[in-house]
Amino acid sequence: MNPPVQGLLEIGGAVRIFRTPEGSIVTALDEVDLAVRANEFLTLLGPSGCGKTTLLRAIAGFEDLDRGDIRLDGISLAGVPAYRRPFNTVFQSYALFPHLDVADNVGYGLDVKKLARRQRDARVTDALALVGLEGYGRRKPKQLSGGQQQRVALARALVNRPRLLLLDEPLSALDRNLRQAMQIELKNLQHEVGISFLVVTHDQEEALVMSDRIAVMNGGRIQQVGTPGEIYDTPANRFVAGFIGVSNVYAGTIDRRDGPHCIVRTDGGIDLWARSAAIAAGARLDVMIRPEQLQVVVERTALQGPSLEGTVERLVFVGADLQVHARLADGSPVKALVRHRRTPLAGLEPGSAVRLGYDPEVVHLMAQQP
Amino acid sequence: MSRRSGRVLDAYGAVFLLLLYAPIALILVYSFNSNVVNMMAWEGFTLDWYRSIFGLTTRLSESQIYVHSTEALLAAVRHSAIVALCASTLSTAIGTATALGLARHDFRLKRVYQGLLVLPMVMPDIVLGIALLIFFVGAGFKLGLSTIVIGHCVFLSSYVFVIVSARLAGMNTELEEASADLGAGPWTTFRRVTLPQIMPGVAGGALLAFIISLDDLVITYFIAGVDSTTLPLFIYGMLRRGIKPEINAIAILLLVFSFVVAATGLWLRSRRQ
Repeated sequence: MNPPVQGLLEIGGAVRIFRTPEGSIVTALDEVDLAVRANEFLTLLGPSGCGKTTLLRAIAGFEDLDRGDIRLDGISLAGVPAYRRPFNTVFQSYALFPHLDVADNVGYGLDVKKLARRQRDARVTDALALVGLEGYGRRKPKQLSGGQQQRVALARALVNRPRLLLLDEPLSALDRNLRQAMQIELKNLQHEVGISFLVVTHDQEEALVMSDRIAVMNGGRIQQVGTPGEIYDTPANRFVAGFIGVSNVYAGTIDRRDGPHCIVRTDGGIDLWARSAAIAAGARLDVMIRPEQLQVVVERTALQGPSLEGTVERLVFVGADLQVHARLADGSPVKALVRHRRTPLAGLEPGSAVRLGYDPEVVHLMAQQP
Repeated sequence: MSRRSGRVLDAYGAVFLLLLYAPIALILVYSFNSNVVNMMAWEGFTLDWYRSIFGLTTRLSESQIYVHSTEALLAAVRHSAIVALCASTLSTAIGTATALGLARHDFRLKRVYQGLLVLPMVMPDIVLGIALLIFFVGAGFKLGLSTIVIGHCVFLSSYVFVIVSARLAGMNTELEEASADLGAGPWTTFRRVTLPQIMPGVAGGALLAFIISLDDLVITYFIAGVDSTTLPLFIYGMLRRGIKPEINAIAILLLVFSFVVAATGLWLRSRRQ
């Protein structure tokens, strides 16, 4: 019995196991389930070696699954070779054909389909215009900059009007400024062409900027799928909390309940207030609070609500903000942010005692990972 | 480096090049020497040795020339050309296909396979020649141009395999994936992406195979039939009757031809890039 169709592309129970030349076994994909919806920008985010590229290659048809299934419109793609799948890929190295000029690179997919010459030329021209490369048709890939090559790779894939565009670390070869401009541009392009984009990246900032949804991967497993806001505010576990943005995470136990709140006692013996649904006292969990949600005041300043006591270790200037690295009473580290000002907060210096106020509403509780 | 050791190196280089090219330069000079008794003593300039090869009238007497029949010489040239063209074409196809298969697929005993493929290059020609002769006779082949072509393919395929393999090793396999990704089946991908990428290796291999086949003597000696004398066999036959200046003329013509082939190859390659 097939599960009901949820999206354009569905991956169910995907398993891929590699044997390294040294003989050890690596599980690149471990029971991966994921659905790509129509017309969405979905990012596969994870550290290198987490299986995200293997998943992308399995969808493209370059890699077979050991178990599990990939379905397009509910129909399995098992045994369908890469050249019969209605997907196109933007490769990390772009993989432009060096012996063909830009127009022939872009027209390659159309030539293979034996499209009539006039139609082919018109579509190539449109695709080059779409990526802002009008008039570059007769150049060889080698004569273009990295950013321009990237655009050619995009045009070459999009000109075929794929059901799904796969992008493998598309911006990793570009320098920082260009990368930031291209993040916005990619998102706009996706909106314009109305094709689902599935992007693989290890850059969390990139993922947050571009995506409609993010799937965070680690160790061959999907850790969490959600909108950038959901992933940032309510990470599913310690890994996701640490991988996206800066976070303070402590392992602890529910000590007692007090009305709508519960009090978590960390393993170091520090109490944290959080709002939570019914979780029984004694349950083990991880508790997280983001640095920007801690209000830093120097000792003895009055504060509404709960707070943590700490000693400042160092102050790190990060532009708009000043990052306060401190230690709690039990020695565990904590990071907080203070808006940068010309005249620094009096009494805020290494060694000084601080109080870190917080709102229990934003303290996030996470199940512990096995 | 001191000036002195620099001068020593210069001198060494000069002697090295002299030893390498002087014999060839001498042949060139001898081929135009009109002295019919002793070709090492310069007497005057003549084109007679070249004229004699092509059966043109010369002032030489019958006893002074060996090429009594220009037809026999031209037949040998024709045989060599047929053999070199067929053998280089076939071995280029075989060697390229083998290189592709080994570069793109993994299978058991792959290393053993690779080793066996280069073996014909290091095997002594005389061993290969005898082995091929025994095989052809045993299998009931009639020795002739076809056996020479088959015999040449045996070791020329190895040369092409090695050259094309080196080119494939430097090729980005993502290009082939990109081609498949854009909807091209395996044959289209080979024709439109792989082949253009490895063309310099394929052309270089074909050229080398052609030149090696053209001047192979030892192996050909064993597997040629009576009516399939190639140019190297013909020259070798002439030598057995003593060294006469016509040999020089033939050698120079061969040299010029080889240069033209190699230069054409290089020119085609540079034009493509």
